[in-house]
Amino acid sequence: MMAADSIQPWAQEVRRARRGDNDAFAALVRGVQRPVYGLCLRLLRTEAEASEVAQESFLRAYQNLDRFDDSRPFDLWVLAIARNLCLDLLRRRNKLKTEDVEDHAHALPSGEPSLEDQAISNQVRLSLEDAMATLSPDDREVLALYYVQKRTTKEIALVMDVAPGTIMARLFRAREKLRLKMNVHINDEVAS
Amino acid sequence: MSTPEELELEALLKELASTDDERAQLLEEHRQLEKDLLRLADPLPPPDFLHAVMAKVAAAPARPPARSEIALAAVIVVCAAAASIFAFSTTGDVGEVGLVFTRLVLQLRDTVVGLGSALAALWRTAALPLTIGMGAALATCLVALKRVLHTGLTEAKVVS
Repeated sequence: MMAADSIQPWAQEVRRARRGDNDAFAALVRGVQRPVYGLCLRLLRTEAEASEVAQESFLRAYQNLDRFDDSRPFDLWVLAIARNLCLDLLRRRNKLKTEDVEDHAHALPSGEPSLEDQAISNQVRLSLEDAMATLSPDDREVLALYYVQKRTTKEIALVMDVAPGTIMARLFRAREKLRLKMNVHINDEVAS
Repeated sequence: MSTPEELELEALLKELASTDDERAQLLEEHRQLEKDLLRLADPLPPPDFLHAVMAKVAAAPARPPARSEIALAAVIVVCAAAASIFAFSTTGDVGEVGLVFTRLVLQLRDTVVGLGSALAALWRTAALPLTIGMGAALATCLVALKRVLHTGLTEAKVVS
């Protein structure tokens, strides 16, 4: 039991939340709200929808806590719920086509300030976000989980419910599409 | 020996770059892109996000009981009903049910007291063999329990 708790830091909170302790559940939400909201925003591209779906994900998690497999990471479980809700919404609203993402691009910040961060101009960052936003949800998702959230391929496979061996190829394809989009963006800027 | 994933990536690279120079340039552009991507971070959720989640949780209907809880409750109800019907059918009188139960409890108490007396008598006559016997039984039980637990955990891992 001790070993399991040290591996899964949220195990104790999950047990308490199952017994009806809302403070424990609030602690769980606090711990994983940023990646869950971040993934929703990358997939849905509007803050209001992302916030709504992320909240709904946590509510579903709360209502299904008894079904949660304690041997799996809690954050990946909630991420998988959020992902499915986002994809459902995208399918329902038929929002797979690319659309204007200017506002959203401003809503996605870079990481913690560092010398390296300062080296990237805002314009480059915006164009990267712009280009990412025009990719398909599958591509955005795999890039966000791997590069933004620094997840391993095994973790991504758990969230996406695919074989871990397919993740590197998916990443490469998504990166290649992003590279082409970035090149188009740069060419456009040069032309103008 | 390349893995299927490595072979797939190699095939993708070949599709995109036919010469070594093109390949090197493509890989360099991917490396640069990776560096930029790694600098991105998830945005913070709105300040009232946690509050909104907990409000939804509080407003949500009570969590439905787990299947295991429902099954346990059903077993308890069925056992209680079966015991009542059995007691009623054997005595033929509702008032007798309580008496039957009381008699059973008294018999159980007598059995426990009798077992205690037997153990006390055994201890007085053969303390050492009894200690050794009990110790051996306890050790055997612990070893068996450890094995059972170990087997159970392994199966759980495979299933998950």
